[in-house]
Amino acid sequence: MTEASRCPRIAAPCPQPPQFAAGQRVAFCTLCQQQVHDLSALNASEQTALLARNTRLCVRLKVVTPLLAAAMALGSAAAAPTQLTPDPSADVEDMFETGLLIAPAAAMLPLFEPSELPESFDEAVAATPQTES
Amino acid sequence: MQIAALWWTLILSGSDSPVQPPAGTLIAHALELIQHCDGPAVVDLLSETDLQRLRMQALAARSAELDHPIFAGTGPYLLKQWRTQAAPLTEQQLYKDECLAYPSDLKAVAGALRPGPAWMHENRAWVPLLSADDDYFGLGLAMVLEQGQWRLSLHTHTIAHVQIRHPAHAALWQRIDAQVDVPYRCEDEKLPPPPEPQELDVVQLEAGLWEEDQANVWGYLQRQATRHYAGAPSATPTAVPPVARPSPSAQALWAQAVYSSLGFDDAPDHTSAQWERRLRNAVGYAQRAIDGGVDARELALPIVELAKWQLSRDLDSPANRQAALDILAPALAARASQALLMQALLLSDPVDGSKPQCTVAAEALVEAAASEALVEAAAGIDGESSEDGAEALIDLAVTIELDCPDPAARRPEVALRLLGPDVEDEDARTGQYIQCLLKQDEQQSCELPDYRTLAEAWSSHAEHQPWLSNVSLRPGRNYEETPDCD
Repeated sequence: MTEASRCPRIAAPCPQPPQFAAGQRVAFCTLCQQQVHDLSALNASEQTALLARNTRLCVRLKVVTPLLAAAMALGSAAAAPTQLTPDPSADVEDMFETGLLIAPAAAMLPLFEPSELPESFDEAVAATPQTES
Repeated sequence: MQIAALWWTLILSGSDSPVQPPAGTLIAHALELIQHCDGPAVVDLLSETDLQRLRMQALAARSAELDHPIFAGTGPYLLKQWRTQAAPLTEQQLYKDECLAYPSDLKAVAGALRPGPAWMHENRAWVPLLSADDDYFGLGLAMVLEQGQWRLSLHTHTIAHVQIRHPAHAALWQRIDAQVDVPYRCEDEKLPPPPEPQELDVVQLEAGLWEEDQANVWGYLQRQATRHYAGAPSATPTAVPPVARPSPSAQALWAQAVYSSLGFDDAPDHTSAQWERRLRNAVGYAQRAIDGGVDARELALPIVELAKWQLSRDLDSPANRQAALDILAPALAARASQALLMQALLLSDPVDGSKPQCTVAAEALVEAAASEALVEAAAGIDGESSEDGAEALIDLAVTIELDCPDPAARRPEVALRLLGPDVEDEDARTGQYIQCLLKQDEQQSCELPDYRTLAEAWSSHAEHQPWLSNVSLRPGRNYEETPDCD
C-alpha cells in the first residue's frame, strides 16, 4: 500500500502524532502525509470555519472537559465498587488526541458550545413539556 | 403558505432586542442565494465580514504560499482554480466558486424549508428553517445587522448541518447526501505557483478572515429556537406563542444541548442532585424524541450517561445495576453500540455482587457486531474509524471471554477465534496470553495484558468526550466520497 493511497483511509486516532511547538497551528504528519491542524491553537471562529469546510480532516485537539473528568471518576468507581465516590477535585492533565475526524462540523456546532449570555437549562425540571396534540 | 410564513417572520420575533427582525423578502432572497450558489445581489446580501473574507482568500490565493486552515481539505481545489483564472476575480464569482466547492446541508435543502420567527440578540438574528410538517432540525439563517441592514453571515451557514435525521424526512436526506458526492481533493494536489507573488502581512490578513463570536451568540440563539420548537418551557418570556405540536427533531436537539451543557464551566458539580436532575431532563427529552420517531441511536449518549449515574452516586446510595439496565432499554432496543457495550459490562462484571453472565454478554456483543459490520459496510465505513463500531464490540467480547470474574466461564479458545488469524500482528500480547492459557500446565504463569482487563474496559468506556460524540458515524450517511490518491 502506498502512502498516497492511505491518505483518505487513516483511522482515528493517529498512532504517531506529530509534535507541535507552542503556538504552532499546523504540523505535517509523515505517517499519513497530511497536514494536522491543532484546533486548540485556533480561536472558536477559526475552529468552526475550518471544521465546517471539511468533512474529513486531520486534527489535534484537547480532550479534557469537566464532564470527561467526571466520567473518568465514575469509570474508576465502577471498576472498583469499594470506592464509589468520585473525587471531583482529582486533577486531570491536559490530553491531546490526534487523528482523522469524519463529519467534524457536527462536533463543533455553536448549539453545543457554552455561551457568555445568561441562560438556564433547568426550567424543564419542574415543568412537563407539551405533549403532542 | 410560504408568503404567510414570511409575514409571520415580520410580525413575530423571539427577540430580546428592540431591533426589527429581518424582512421576509430578504430571507426569501437569502434562501435563493444559498440554494443556487448565485445571485446578482451577493454584495448587497452578504455581511461585510464575509465579503472581506472572500477578498482576502482571493488575494492570498493569487499572491502567496500560505499554510492556512482556510485552504485545508477542499481548499487546494479552489486555490488551483483561482490561480489559473484570469484576474480580476469578482466577489460574485468568488462566492459562487466557494459555494459550489463546499457541501452544505443548508444549500441542499433550502428550497424545501420555510422560515420561522427570528430569534435576535443585539445585532444578530437566527432565522430557524422548518420542514413542511413543522419539524426543526437545527438549520437556519444567521444574519447580522450592519449599518441598519440585515445581511447574511455566510460562514456561519456552512456549520449548519442536519443533526437529527427523522425518518419522515428521507427525501431531504437524499438531497443532502447527493451533494456530499463532491470529489475529495488530496492535500498534496499539485498547485500552480501564485500568479501575482507579493509579500503579505499574514497577521493583518488573518485578522479580516473570521467573524468573532467569543460570546457564542449564535449558539445562544440556536438554543432559544431549539428550546421553543422542542416545546420546552423557558424562564425568558418571548413574543412567540408556544408551538402547537413539539418537533421531535428539536426535542432530540434540545436533549443533546442540555446534555452538552453538563460539560460547560458553569455546570453543576457532577456529584450534585442538580447535575442528576439536568441529566434526567436531557434523557426526558430524548425519550420524547424517540417516542416521536427519532432513532434512539442518535440519543444514546445521555441515556448511557444516566445509566452510569446509577452505578456511582454517593456512599449512601449503592450502585443500582438493574436501574442502569432499565434506563438503557430504549437505546438497547435501537441497538445503539454505546448501550450494548454498557450492558455487556454490567452483565459480565456486575457491580452489585450478582452472578456474572459472561457468555450471555459476550455472545450478545458478537451478534451485535455482525449487524454493525453490515451497516458499516453498507455505509462504506472503515470499522477502524469508529470507536464504538463492530470492532469495539468484538474487542469487548474478547476481553470478557478472557477476564470474566468467574474463571470457569472464561473461554480463551472463543477469544482466539474472535480475534481471527491476524491476532499476532494486531494484538501479539493477547495472542501470547491465549496460547499460554491453552497450555494447561502453564496457566499460573500466564499474564493477561492490562488492556484486556474488564477494569480497563470500564475505564475506557467512561472516557467519553460528549462534545466529540457527535462525530460518531451515523449509519446510512453517505461517506463514500473516496478520493483517488494513487
